Amino acid sequence: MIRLENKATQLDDLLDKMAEAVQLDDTRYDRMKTSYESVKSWIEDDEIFFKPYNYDVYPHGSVRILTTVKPIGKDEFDLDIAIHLKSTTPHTPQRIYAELKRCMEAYAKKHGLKLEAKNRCIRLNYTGDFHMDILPGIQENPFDQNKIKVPDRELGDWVSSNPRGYGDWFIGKANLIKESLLEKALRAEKLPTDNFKHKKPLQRAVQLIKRYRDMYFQKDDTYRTSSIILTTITAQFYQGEESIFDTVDNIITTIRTKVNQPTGRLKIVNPVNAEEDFTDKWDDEPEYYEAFKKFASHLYNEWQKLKTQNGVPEEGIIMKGLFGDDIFRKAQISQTARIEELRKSNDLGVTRNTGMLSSASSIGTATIKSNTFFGG
Amino acid sequence: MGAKFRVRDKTIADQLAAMRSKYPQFETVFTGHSGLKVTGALQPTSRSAIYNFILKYNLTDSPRIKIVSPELKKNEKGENAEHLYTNGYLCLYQPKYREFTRTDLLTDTIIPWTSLWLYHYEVWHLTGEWLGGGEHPKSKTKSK
Repeated sequence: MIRLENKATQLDDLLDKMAEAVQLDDTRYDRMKTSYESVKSWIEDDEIFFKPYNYDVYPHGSVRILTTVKPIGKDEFDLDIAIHLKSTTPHTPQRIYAELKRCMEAYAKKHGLKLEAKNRCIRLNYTGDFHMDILPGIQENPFDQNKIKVPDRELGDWVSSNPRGYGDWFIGKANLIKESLLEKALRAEKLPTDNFKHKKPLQRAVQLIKRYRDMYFQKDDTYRTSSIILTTITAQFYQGEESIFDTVDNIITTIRTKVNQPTGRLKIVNPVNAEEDFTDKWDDEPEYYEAFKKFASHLYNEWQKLKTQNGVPEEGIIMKGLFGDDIFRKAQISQTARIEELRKSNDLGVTRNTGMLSSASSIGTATIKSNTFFGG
Repeated sequence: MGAKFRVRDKTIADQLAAMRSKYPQFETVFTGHSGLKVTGALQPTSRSAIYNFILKYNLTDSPRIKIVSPELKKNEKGENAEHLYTNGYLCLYQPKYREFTRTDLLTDTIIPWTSLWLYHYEVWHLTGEWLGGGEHPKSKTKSK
């Protein structure tokens, strides 16, 4: 069980459960996967153009790096997939885009889906469920298996992109830590840690920061900070902290230091393509940068309060404000359900001397006799 | 005599000795020859507040425990916590089920149950729901 006698673990358990409450759920993930497989084989069977070529189809973006967050008020997720043609393909990216559009229009028609031709990708809209952004690209050279050139219709040219390389970079950062605080706590209790295998503190921190961004910019999202900036900043500043709480703490403290430096604005470049500045907009429209700074500073202040605050109700108010009433309640109810399970199986104890609730198997702990709260 | 084996009732001296041994930081004193009073503090989880309580027990009556500080609060809707008598005593067990009898030690029952009650009191503030179960005298049904 989560160790109620350890404040860091107890808090991390709640943060973990909140992230879980906003992420892509398993059933929808399975539906996405089915749709993705179906699109994939449709493209593979395309006699007119795609069939003879050699290519990969793979997901990228938050689904690939496991940092999905359900948008507030809407119930739709994004699934980003790439069609990655080998470098020997003798066509321009524009031609590939046009062929993909033709091919997917037939698919959309057959399945009653709405198709939208975006700047760089084709979007299939599975209304009320998710949308799938299909990005076509040609591998730039035979030596780098990840770099592709993708058509940019506004530019009328192609741009370099590296979605798979970005994913590898991010996962590498997340795996800076072998075992998280929660994994350790569970292992100490000899409980299965499967749930945490793929959700390292970095991934949880990204989910929570994105969720908080959605809350913060809910009323006015004109200068909302984008997910790619937040994800990159978080991974870039991550130092291998073992708890979710410390991860967020380190990120926002580092942001605070960086934005206060006199040497100019914080710059976030694509870790796998140094020429791409994710924050170039912050020069043209400084309002974006100002909004980002205010947002980061608000999170910083609230996090400091969480550090010093004592008393569960006050702490609850802060976390509800940051991440939303409903998901906080959900997380707390699920933590308590686990405690009640232990209580029913006579595995809940109190630590001698302090009277703190604990797992009955811990040293210095006496099992709580069964009782029924009555009256009142 | 052929009398059935029976667990011996605990005396006030037994209760006092156990309390002083298991919770030495509490102040445990006799109140007359058949009663005792315990003053102490409990923190149900590491995130929780530290609650000061007074527990009074007399062999002729049931144990009565009350939180003295911090003051127990109503929730946002102005409702009182569940399983709390209007005089401020906590309702920790169902007498009908003999969950506490004179053969039981306060240290093994009332004290841990108070911790558990406080835990659920805090969760009730956070979630608006009493998740600790229990029974109400009127309905006679188990909630949750």
